[in-house]
Amino acid sequence: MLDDILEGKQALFGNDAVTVLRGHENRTRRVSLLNGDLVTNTRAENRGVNAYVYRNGVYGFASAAEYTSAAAEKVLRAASDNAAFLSARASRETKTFCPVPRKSIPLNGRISDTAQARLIETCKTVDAYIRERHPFLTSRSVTYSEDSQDRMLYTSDACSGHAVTPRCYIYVSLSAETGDGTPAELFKAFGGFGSFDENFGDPSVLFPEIDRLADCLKQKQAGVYPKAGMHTVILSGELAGMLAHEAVGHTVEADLVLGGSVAGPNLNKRVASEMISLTDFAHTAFGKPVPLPVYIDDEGVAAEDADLIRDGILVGYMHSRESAARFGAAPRGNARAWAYKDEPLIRMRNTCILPGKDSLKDMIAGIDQGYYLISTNNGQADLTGEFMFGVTMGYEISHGQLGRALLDTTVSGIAFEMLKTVDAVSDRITWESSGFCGKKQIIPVGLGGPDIRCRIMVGGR
Amino acid sequence: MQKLLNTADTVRRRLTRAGIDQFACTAAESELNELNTENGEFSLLRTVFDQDLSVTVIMNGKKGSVHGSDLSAEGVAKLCDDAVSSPQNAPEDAANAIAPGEGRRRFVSGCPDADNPALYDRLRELKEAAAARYPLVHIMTVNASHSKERRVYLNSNGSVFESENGWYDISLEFTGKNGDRVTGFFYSGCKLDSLDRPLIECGDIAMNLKAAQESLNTVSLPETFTGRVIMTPGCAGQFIYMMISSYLDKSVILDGTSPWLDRIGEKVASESLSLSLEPLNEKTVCGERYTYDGFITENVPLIENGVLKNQMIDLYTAGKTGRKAIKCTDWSLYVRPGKTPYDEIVRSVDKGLLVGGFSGGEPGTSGDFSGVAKNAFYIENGKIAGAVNEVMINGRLADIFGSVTGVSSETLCDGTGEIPWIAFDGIVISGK
Repeated sequence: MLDDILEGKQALFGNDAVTVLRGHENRTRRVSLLNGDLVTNTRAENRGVNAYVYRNGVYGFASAAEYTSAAAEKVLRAASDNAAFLSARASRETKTFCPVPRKSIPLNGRISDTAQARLIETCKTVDAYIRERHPFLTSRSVTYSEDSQDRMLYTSDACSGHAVTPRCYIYVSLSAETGDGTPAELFKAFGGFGSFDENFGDPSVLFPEIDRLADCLKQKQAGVYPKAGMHTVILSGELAGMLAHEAVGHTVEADLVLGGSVAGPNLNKRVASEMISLTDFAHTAFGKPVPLPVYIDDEGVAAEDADLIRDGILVGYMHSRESAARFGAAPRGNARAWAYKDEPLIRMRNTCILPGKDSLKDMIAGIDQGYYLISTNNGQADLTGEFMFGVTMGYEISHGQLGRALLDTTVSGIAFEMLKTVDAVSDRITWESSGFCGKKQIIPVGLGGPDIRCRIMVGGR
Repeated sequence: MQKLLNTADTVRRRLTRAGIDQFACTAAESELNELNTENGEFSLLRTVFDQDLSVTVIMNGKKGSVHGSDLSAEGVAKLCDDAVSSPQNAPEDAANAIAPGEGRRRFVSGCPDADNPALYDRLRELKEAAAARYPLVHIMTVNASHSKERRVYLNSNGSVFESENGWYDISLEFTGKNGDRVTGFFYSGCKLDSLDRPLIECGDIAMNLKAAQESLNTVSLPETFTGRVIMTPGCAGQFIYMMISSYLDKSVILDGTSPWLDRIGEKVASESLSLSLEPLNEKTVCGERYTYDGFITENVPLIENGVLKNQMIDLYTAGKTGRKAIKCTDWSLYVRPGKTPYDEIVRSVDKGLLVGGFSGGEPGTSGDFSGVAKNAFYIENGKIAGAVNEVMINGRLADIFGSVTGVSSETLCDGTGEIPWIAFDGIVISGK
């Protein structure tokens, strides 16, 4: 964990600038078995310090791959010089940041290390179980992946703090062949926030879910392609979370709003069915910790929830301190950076569509012809609100009953049009947090939602 | 450079003392200077001083790797200790190996030093040129950087490689914008070894700025049909990378799921298609000079006249499968141009699309793709009729690469490769 070598450096902050000094370590561990062969076995620790200086409307940033007192002073000087270089050449309106509470955010936990040998042994145990129990597979992979962050920061006019985000996952990927010899694949991520021992102390707890995954793959082997076109579908909570993140979340990041996103002209207007409310949670939702809790962002803003859609009305954006000043809003702690070499960008944290009152059983029964789409492996979105995401598992719905499994497909649409077609929202939430969001830098994010019934464009044959 | 050589040598001595007789290490230091604009205004100058040490060890056939940024004496010592313990509990695997010794080599390429004032001036020029020529284009972000990098690679078989590289990266994100009407994202970029010409003349920047402006008025396609799709160089490159990942990547060769597993020497694509990885091409800016395995890099043909020549086999995969390793881990893609002008290829299309980008997931080994056609234009009776929205394209990679109907004589080069326009038949095009 990072020691505090930065506190005394506040005396070096310039009087005419907003300054953040951040120590940051990323720790990664990765073990990957492919059909029992160990193809990846790595450990990495990258630690450094950076300074972020706002002066005369522009930013200077500098980082060094060393966490030392001398490196902290070096980056403070370099960041200040960079701000001076830019402000001497380019004029940009200086924004007065709205005052934020100045307090010290306490450390929220610890990062504990696990010997690589134990990570390998656990992956081998899981791999052996899959090999013995599911001989129908043509290929299997088991990957342990940990990417923990340790951040310490001091600011000239906001909070200081020390925060950790340990997280680890085991990804299981299974392949088999369909009747015509085409590969069919499914994967599942296990794990989440916390240490290896907290998530995988007993790997056998994964086995029932692995068996269910294999059963789904058997159904997918006999799967069919959906019919291409517009359909009534139920998106599972996992897909609703992806929708919340991709189709809505990105369009309401204030830098993209300033770039012309569809959310710009739609503030305080109806963008969805009144059944839809959407929040970017900081650290707690529905009385429990969210998948990836954030207590302080990388500008020193204490993290609070950001309401984005309430009863179908677009009510807010996500901000940095500068964009908040531009919009006359309060920042909520959305400025985040991935590594010591990265400047903070406006990012989501734990974006979730709120649950409704319907039961999934009734929602399926209410569809004559359509689809129930369950798992996804990726998604992308555009400024216009046009989104797509890949669907790796789903079923036909016919006369209110589930039918054949589906082969891989894609769904797409325009978010603020599609969301207006929602006519049922289930009463349960599914969270997902194993991936990364990409936007100049990667960042871990949580996303969640209930099952929602809507009209959406399905790709098929 | 001497500091890096000393660090690498320290690693060599520590590992040898610990009884490790197979190892490789890379010590690197770099400096990045990056100018950013946001919505047309200069917003950030960022400097990154970076360093990295990575060590791979093989002990009794067991392999482990560690990486870290602490190059102090204590940091190097800890990294070496972690490296020695990393293969514990790993299975023995005879395929784990270090590349044979290639002696001592030195590589220098690109432009070693950042010129921030010149970069600022070229960026300001780009802003002004884009605004003058394409007034309905809004440039959301530009990231323009210079990277300077020094590396030392050393392995237990006697290879010592020193490399010094310097290059500029330019990337833009923009949209067409007219009042409240906006297009989707457009992306452009290039890699340069000098700032000797205006940035708007580099790579696909001008082409995409024009396309963004012309995409403001879109229509939906009210039908689904199987048609011909002409892909721009950027989009064709995306599909070729998907094809390489799905059919030729080492992971799908290793697990035996590639549909092209045993098809070296066989026809897998149309005869008009030839593509290769060419990091040594003079047009490639700061291309790879040695692989991560430790081989000296060579250009590698992948497909020649439709015939499969190579797969992406690295040293481990070669040891595991008995196949020959290629000496290239750099995806600098060169596609041989055709003899047909682009305009003639457009005239050949009765009903289809011109597509500038694809938004969809990785197809997997089935090669089935399904996603949104981005920056797309409808073609009817040989003419580009207008921009479209919400159009999906679906198909199977093996099928479309076997149905290439046109490869343009014109190409685009962006410093990482050179690709023509390519027309494919057999793609399902679904409108709303």
